[in-house]
Amino acid sequence: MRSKKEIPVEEKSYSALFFILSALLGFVTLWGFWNEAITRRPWKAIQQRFYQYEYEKTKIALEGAQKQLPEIETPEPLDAKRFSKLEQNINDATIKLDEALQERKFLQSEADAINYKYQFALHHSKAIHEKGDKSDPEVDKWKSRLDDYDRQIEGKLTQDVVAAERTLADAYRESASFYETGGHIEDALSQFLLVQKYDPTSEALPAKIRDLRLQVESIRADRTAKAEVDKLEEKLSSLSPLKRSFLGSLLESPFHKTRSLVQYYLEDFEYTADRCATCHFSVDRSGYDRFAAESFEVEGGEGGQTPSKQLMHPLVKVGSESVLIDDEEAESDQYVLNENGLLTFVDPDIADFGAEVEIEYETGYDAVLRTHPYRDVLLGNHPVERFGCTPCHGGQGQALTAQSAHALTHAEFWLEPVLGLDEHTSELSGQLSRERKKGKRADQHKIADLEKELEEKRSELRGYLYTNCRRCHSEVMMLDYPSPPPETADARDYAPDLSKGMALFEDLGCQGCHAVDGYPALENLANVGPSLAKIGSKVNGTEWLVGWLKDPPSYLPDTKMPVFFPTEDMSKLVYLKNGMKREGTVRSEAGAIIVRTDDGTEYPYREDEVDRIVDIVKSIAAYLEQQTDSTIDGIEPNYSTSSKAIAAGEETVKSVGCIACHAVDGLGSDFAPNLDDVGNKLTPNFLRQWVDNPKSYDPDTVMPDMRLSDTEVDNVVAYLMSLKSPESPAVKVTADSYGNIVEEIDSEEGETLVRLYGCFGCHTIPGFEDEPKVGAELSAFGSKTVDEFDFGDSVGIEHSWHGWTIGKLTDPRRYQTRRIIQRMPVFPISQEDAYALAVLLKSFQAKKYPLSYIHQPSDTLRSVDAGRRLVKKYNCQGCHEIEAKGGEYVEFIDSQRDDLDLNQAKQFAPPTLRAEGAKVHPDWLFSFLKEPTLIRYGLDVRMATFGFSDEETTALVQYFSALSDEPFPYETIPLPPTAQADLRVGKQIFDALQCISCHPEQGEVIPAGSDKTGRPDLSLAKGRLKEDWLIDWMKDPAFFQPGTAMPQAWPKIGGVYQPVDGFAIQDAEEQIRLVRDYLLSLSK
Amino acid sequence: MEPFLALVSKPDNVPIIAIIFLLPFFTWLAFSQGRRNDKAGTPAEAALKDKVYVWPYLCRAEFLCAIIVMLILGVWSIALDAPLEEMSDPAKTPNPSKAPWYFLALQEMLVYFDPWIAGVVLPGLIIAGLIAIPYIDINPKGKGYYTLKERPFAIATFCFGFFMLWIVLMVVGTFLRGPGWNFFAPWVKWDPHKVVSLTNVNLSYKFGIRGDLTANIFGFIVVAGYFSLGPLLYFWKRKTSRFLQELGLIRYIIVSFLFLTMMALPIKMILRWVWNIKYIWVSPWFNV
Repeated sequence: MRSKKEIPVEEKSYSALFFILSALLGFVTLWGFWNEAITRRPWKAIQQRFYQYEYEKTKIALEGAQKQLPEIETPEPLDAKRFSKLEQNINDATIKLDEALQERKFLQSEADAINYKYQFALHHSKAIHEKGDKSDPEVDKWKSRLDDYDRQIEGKLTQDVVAAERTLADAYRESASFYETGGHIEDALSQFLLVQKYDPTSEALPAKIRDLRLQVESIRADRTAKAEVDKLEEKLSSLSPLKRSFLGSLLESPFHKTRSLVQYYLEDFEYTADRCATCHFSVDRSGYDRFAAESFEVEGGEGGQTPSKQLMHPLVKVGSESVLIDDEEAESDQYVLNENGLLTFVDPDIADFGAEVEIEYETGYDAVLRTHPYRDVLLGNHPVERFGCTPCHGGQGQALTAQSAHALTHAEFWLEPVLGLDEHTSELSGQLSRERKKGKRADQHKIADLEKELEEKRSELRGYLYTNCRRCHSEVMMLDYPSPPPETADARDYAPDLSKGMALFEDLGCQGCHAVDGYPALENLANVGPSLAKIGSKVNGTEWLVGWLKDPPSYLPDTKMPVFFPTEDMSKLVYLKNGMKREGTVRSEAGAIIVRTDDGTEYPYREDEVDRIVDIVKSIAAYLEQQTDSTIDGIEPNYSTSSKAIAAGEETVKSVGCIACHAVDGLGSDFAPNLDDVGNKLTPNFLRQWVDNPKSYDPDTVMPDMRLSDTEVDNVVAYLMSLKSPESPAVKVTADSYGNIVEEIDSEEGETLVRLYGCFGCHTIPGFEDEPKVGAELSAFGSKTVDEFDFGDSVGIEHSWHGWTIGKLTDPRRYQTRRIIQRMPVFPISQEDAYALAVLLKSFQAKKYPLSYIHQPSDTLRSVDAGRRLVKKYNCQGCHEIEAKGGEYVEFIDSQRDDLDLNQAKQFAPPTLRAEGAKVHPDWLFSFLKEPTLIRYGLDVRMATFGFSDEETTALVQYFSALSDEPFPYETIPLPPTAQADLRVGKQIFDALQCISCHPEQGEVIPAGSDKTGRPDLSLAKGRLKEDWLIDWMKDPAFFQPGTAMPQAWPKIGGVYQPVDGFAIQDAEEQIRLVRDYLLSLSK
Repeated sequence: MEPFLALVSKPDNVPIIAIIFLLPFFTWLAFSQGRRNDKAGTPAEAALKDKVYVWPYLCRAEFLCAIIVMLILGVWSIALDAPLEEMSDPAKTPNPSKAPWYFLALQEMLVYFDPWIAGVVLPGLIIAGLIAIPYIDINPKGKGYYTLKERPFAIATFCFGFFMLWIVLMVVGTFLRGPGWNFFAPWVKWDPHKVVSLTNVNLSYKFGIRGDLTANIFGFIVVAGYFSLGPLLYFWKRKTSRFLQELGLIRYIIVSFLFLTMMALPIKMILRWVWNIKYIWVSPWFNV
């Protein structure tokens, strides 16, 4: 044997090698095809699953429909011989009728010709004989001939026709009865209708026809049900096994395209191509919702079988259900529910009672194949063909694997991750799918744990789904349309976290320091904090101001004012002799001055290195103290301390309505500052001016004028000055000293510090009107990536957008380091608040959406939104219930008066403003808002004078009109004048109903404690109340004001309003109208 | 270490990982054959006198090779996807921004040179130098067989220029340069916020020269001296050697210029690392 090397090249054979390599190449080629068709098209399996679901669902629906389907009797074919004989009869009779008609027609036309001649002769003779009183033989001749003809036509010929019609009708009747007995109801009906046509005198006929019509209707309904069943059958057969099988995806796709990409191509939206629906195949198909509810009556249970019911969905998450049997919560041992949706009842007799069952459950469909939540509203208003998926959800629309489509940060082609998911959910879902792929070896406990964790994490991030809503709907406070606007509490806010975030952002005054592009509402917002223009005259000395600046919550625990100096000790500015400065707390130790900065670093300096030390808070206070007003300071402070005045003042404060906004003695609301310690804070002179006329102190304040008399103002001032909490910390403002250095309190430095900390962001301070905002611009904050965030020295903060933002919001100084000083103050926000704010911040994106996609709110929506902002700004809901929210004032009254229940308290409370736009005339509302007038006598609480501008007043009027779906501007159509007699009747009914026993008469003076207290003066109705509304109100007062004391004088029984007895007019509607007319005549 | 392993296993880096193994292997193969030939005196390749026809004997071997290559490429392309990155966005550039792997050595040069020098002049000179090799390499030995002894200068220059300056810099650029083009050891996590001290000065500043014009002139003198003094000295000492005689003056100037240009890169690297030297010659138009 020669060794391999010794064989000459010419004699070597490579055929074995060649064969193996070729086989391998062939295998790789096949693998390439497989990879392309199957491995890289994972959606095929998902679509296959959809078709399987669809098959199961259709089968259940078909079975249900078939069970419901009544027996449809196909009538026997008719006896042909008799049928043709009847047909013949009808035919003959028709011919007879035609002949009779024809006969008459002939004579008729001849008669017409003779008539012409007669007329002609008549005219001719008239022309000759002017007077025409002489008879003319020509005329007479034609006249007698015409009479002759007419006699014939109306006589015999018509009788012939009628006789022929009767014969025909009889023929039809006979045929109709034949059809009816043969079961051909529809044909019978059409024949009977013909009978009616030819013999209208028949008396039994109409009843017969009515009866047949009902039968036909039921037949047609059955037929529709049958058609439904046929449709389902057709659908079921179209979902052939091939379509549902894996093989089908291979075989069918090239020819039938049953498995193909679903793509929404949005040319207008930057040429976006979204293929999400390829996997989310049923997102725009109904019937794959996560939660389902059904109600039915239990049937079956014969022959020893237990009654059962197949639910609509073939997949049910067992354990998620709640079952009501006859409105009672069913115990879990009363029924058995299996995963395929078969509900079996344990009690075999349950069907005998015909028990009503209501069941709510979670369906078991794969999450990827679920219907879009609120599909009707959300996809109805955003059709996928136009809006696609990614404009709202983010993610990468073109991608065809879950990982890159959802574009999580470590996905291959990262653009923007789909909203509501992040690195952690992606990691978890990766683990989950790896575990599931193990098949039988998979650890079920681990899968369950992972599923739970993933679900929790996802629901934690769910709020981010709403962020993109704002990119088109940036103008409104709340996304609760479609119209009509909601006036009920169950109106749904479709982006709750976002609305909450916006409310927080605006309430906390973030816009004071941070600029945001594309947030139009911010431009019109008033300052969050009070004006500091005259603060020196307002507050009671520097001590209070220093204590407040240092730690606002110690004075007002609920204040929005953030904490700028969270360190325990006062922060100082230390100027060094070398020109540098350090900010922090200072202590002196063995001749050294040690400055400790906010991040905890300590810098020791020798005393001779330090130039001077300035106290930050005291300097700011010193600067602010200089902002005074001579009209307040010019008067000698003077207020009563008598207990009588104080008691009277307390009475006023607690009754006129102050506590709708302020709280005192644990009573009231937190809209405006708590008054419990107000005596320590304010000067009496300021208080007097403020209570008397707030706008004279600050023209921009929302505090209204309560129209108090001078004595009342004095008493209120006396009361408020007496409110001094003994625990109020008495800060002594003195200059501290460190070693040999005494700190300085420098008001000029204070001004610089005000500029540095940006106090003017929330407060009006003279001289700072044109200062730029001190905070970072947030216009593109949402598009920042993790790399752009500095996490400082923080530990335990998740390194993600979410983590950084929540960390920053909950503790704004968290990321400061030795190198980076941060001045954002600490706000009182909880974890949930921070999350809502983060949702809003995420919506601040640099990329703007195409203009054609930006939502243009309708006039109604604009009015509603503008109104809501005003309602919020002026806290209208502190007193009134508007849009089913607010109106807590009635509870204060209820809690103060033991003799009343909540409904009775309403008599003494500000009114509910439900349907206010339908109730009052816009003109009246306008002038009332501008200058409130008395409507209900004897009440302590009163509508305040807010000093609304014309624009604000108009906006409020429009708001109420829009809420009630009333037109604006409103055109008043005057009612026609009422007759005196009618007014008299109206008055009689009015008196009979004893309206005056509860309502005050015109100008009546109400004694204290009278039952008429708080009831409207009826003489004010004209011009104030809308005429139509008055009628609706009298019909059903409780609809407008639930729990009202106003009785329903015309009770509704069986859908009909019952009239008041004892009057000639016994029509309730008419009676109401007369009373209304009488009311409107009562005007002053 | 985990991020480094993820980096190494990225589909983008298959070629460069292959290079790390293939290059030493083939270098070793060539070197061992060269040493064998040098030891024996006569190259082993001289013994192969037997010849066969191209068709079919060569072609069939080539065809088999083609199948093998197709197999490899087929499996590779099915198993590993083309390394695309995210859609380009001028407002959001990736960090680090890296060139394709084969250009990473050029990108590495940008750390030490002006973009104009590193991006235009040096790549141009590399191409020009490669074109010039047949004209300046007049050594007739080593054709058709492996040898080390007979071509020491050519082989040494190649090994340094290609392996050290091209391949090593490429590997460094691929695996060890992270966000901000900062250097990260394999076991260190790529931190986009890493801060390194980068205060460098020009050579003239080190020598106490502050004026712009004087610094310009100083830089010119240093650069001109670098390119002229060494060659002149070598020429003056060894002008009678056979090597220089055969090479001739023109070729000597070209070879020395190209060689010194190549050596400028390691020199500048060392200057940067050790003395924080930024540029040697600063002029209003370009910096060297």
